[in-house]
Amino acid sequence: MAIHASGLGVRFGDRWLFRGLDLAVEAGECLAVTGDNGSGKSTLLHCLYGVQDLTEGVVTVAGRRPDERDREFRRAVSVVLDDSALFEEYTPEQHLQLLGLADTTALPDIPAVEMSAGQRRRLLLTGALRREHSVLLLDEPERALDATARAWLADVIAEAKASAAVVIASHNGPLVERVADRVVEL
Amino acid sequence: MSGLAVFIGAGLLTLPFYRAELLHERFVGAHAVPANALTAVVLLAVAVAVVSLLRRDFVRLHPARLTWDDTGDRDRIVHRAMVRAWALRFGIVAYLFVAAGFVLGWSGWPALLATTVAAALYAYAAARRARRGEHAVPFGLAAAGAAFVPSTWLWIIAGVLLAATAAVWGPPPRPGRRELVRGHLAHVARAVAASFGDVLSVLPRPRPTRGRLGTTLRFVVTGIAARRGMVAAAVLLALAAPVLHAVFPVVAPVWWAGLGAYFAVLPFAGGLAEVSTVAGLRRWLPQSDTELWLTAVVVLMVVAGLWLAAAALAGLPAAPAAIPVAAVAVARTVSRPDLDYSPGPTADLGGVAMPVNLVRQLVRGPFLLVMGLAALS
Repeated sequence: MAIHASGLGVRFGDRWLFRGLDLAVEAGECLAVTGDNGSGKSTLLHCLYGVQDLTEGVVTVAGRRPDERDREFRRAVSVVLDDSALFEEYTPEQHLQLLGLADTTALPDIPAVEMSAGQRRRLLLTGALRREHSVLLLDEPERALDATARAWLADVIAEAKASAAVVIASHNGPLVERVADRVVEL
Repeated sequence: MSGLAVFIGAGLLTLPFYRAELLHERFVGAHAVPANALTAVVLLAVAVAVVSLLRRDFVRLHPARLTWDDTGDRDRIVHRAMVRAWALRFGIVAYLFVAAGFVLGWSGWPALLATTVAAALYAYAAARRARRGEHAVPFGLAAAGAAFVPSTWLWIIAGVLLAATAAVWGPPPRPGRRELVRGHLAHVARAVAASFGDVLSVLPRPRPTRGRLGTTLRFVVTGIAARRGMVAAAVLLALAAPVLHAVFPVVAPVWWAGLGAYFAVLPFAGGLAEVSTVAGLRRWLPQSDTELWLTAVVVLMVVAGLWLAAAALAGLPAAPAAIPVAAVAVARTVSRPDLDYSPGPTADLGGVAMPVNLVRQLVRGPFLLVMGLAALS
C-alpha cells in the first residue's frame, strides 16, 4: 500500500479540522480530497508529506513515516503544495535540469519572473510529475490554469497514476470526475 | 531598552569630540597618520552615501494608501521622502567628517568640504532620475579616496562634481503604482531585517541567468552569477578595506580582510540562502544538504579569494588565511533555516533582556567569523 493512514486527526486549538480519517491508496490509484475552503484539504496533504504534525493517528507514505526532512522520503514522494516555488531567475529548461531532466518543455524559454501565473503553475506541475516518484501529492493543481491547461493536467495525472499513487486536493469537479478513482470529502 | 541604547549610542558617538586622543591611541597607536587620511575616509563615506541614495529606496507608498487615499500629490510625497533620505545620509557624512577630523587631524579640510558639498549636490540631482553610468561618480570618489589624493586634486574633483550636477539636473520621472508598491515591500523587508538583525531577508534578488544547471557546482556558480549586480558593492568594499587599514593601522590587516571578504561575499550566497529557507525551492534539488553546503563553501572561497586579490591590488596587505574563515562564516550565516521566533529563555545583559534562541540563530555566522579572525590575529 503506497499510502496507509488510520485514525488521522488534526486539531487547531479546540477545533478539530478532521478526525478519525482512514485512507488507503495503492499505486495505480488516484484519490481526490474535496471540501469547502478551510475544511483541511491542504492540511491533510501537509500531513502526508510530513510538514504538519498529526494530533492523532498513524500514517505511512511510500513505506515510511512522512518526514520531508528525510532525503529518501523526498525521493519517493513528489509534491506540489501551497508553498511550492520557482527560482525567479531560471527558465523552465533550467528548472528541469536541476532535476536531472534534459528535455525541454512546452513552456516558453523565459525566466520564471516573466511567466504568467498559469505558466508558473504548469512548470511546478511539470517538475513534480516528471521527477521519479512512487507517490504524487497535488494541492489544488488546477489553480491558475486555463481550460487547455486543465485538459493537459487531467491527461498527465491520468498518465502519472499508471505507476504511482496519486492524491489530489481539488475544488474542480470535472478534474476530480476525470482522474479520481475515489473521493474523500472533508 | 531603547532609552539605554540611546544613552550608550550617544556616549559612543560623542567620544571623538572629548576623547579624540584615546581613539587616536586605540586605532592609530604609535604609527604616523598617513597624509590625506581625512580625505580618504570622507571620500569613501561620501561614495557610500551617494551609492546608497541612488538605490532610490525613497520611491515607495503604502499599498493601502494607494487604494484608499490616492488623491494627493504622489510626486510631492516621494520628493519629500527623497529629501529626508538625502539629509540623513549627508548628515551622517558630516558627522564622520568632523569625528574623523578630531581623530586623524584636519589636513586639507577646506578642499574636502567643498568636494563633500559638491557631491551632496550631485547626489540630490542624480537621485531624482535614474541614468546609465550614474555610479561612475561615487566609484570615482571611492577610488580617489583609496588613492589618498592631495587636496589640490580635490578642488578639481569638486569642479567636476558641480559640472556633473548641472548635467544630470532635470525634472524627475513620475513613479507608477507598481514601482511604489515594490518600493514599499522592499522597505518592509528592510525594516523587519533591521528589527531582528536578519540579513537573509534583504539579500539581493537574482537576475535572470542562462547556463546549464545539471550539477551542484553549476547550480552554485549560476546562483552567484545571478547576483552579479553586487559586484559594484564588492568593489567599493575592496577600495574601502585598504583605506581603513592605512588609517587605523593598529587593527591587524586580517580583520579588514576577513570582515571585508565576509560582507563582499555575503550577497553572492543568496542562492544558498533561498534553498535553505524556502522549502518549495529546496524540493527542486535532489542533492544532500552536505553536498550543497560543501560545494557552496568551495565556490564562496574562490569568490572571497578574488575579492581579496582586488583589495590587495588596492593596497591591503595579503591575508589569505581570512579566505576560508570568511567563506565558511558566510555559508553558515545563510544556511540557517527560517528564523524561529518562538519565545524562549532570555539572558539579562545589564537590564536588557536578550532572547537567547533568536540571538543564537542570528549570530551563528558572524560569531564564527569573529572567533576565526581573532584566532588568526
